[in-house]
Amino acid sequence: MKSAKKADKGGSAIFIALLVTSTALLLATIYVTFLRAPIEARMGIVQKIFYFHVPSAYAMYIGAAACFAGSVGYLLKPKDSYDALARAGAELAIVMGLIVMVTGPLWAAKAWGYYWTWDPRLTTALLSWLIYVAYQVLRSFSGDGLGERKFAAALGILGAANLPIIHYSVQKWGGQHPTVVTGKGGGLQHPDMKLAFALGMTAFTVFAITLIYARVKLELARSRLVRAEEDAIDLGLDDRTEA
Amino acid sequence: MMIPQTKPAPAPSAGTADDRATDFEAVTGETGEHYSGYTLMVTAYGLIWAIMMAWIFLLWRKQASLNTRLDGLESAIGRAEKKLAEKR
Repeated sequence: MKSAKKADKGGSAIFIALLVTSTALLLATIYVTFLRAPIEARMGIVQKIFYFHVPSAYAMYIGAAACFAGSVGYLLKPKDSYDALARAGAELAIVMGLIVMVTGPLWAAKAWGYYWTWDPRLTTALLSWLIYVAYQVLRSFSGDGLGERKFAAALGILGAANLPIIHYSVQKWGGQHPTVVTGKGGGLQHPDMKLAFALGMTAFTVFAITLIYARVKLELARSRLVRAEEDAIDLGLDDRTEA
Repeated sequence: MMIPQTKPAPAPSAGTADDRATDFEAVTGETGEHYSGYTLMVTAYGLIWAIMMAWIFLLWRKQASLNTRLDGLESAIGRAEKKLAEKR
């Protein structure tokens, strides 16, 4: 009992440290992006979407990687913690993917003249996002038994398999999506642009870890509660049997 | 790939009114000039926060649902303890 309380205290300290760090980094990103980084010469102010769009995509990858690790772990050794990690990762991938899907077209409206095109990267990113939506729908509307969890784990692995395709689609299949950081286009020219981008990437990485941590904790609490309810039913303590 | 920005304003002319005669041309096709970069950026930024807040709201609802279930379990345990005490 004492060790559990100690672990809980340690967990809270980790969470608070992550929350404070990610808040400070996000505020620093906002400051540098909007008050220090210069406006891009050809694109104008809309280019500033880049400092949130790319880190969101990266955070989506972090969520997908967490979902993949949790899914593989669960298939090898069915434990609540692996399942919680997979579920938390999938949820983060959906949220960050939605940010990517919303901010990208808003930038494209100015840069390309239209919101959406069936470009290889856009299409594969949408497909990947839909896989994680399917994962979440499965978890929400099916049971929480071993079979359902294993089926969801397989879907979590399938979602991660699509990630390299998203990343290399720009190089392999062309399309319109630009490559700023990894391409040969010159990248970010101004030091403040580089700083804004570096801060954005760091902030979203820490923020993603914070969100996964909080979500895993919530999911583990839910799993414990489900087990306690099952035990209560077995012992005849359930509301339905008591009333 | 980039859409040209609006033309810079012409320098003030000392000539006659006819020298400043101009015409207005309608933009045709998808030129990108229909979209304000500032509006798009503010919209994107606002939506990022809206999405995050919506997710936090969903997490809060999940937490509230857990609390309700936990209350039910605690009251069931309380009733069972009371029954056990009565038997003794």
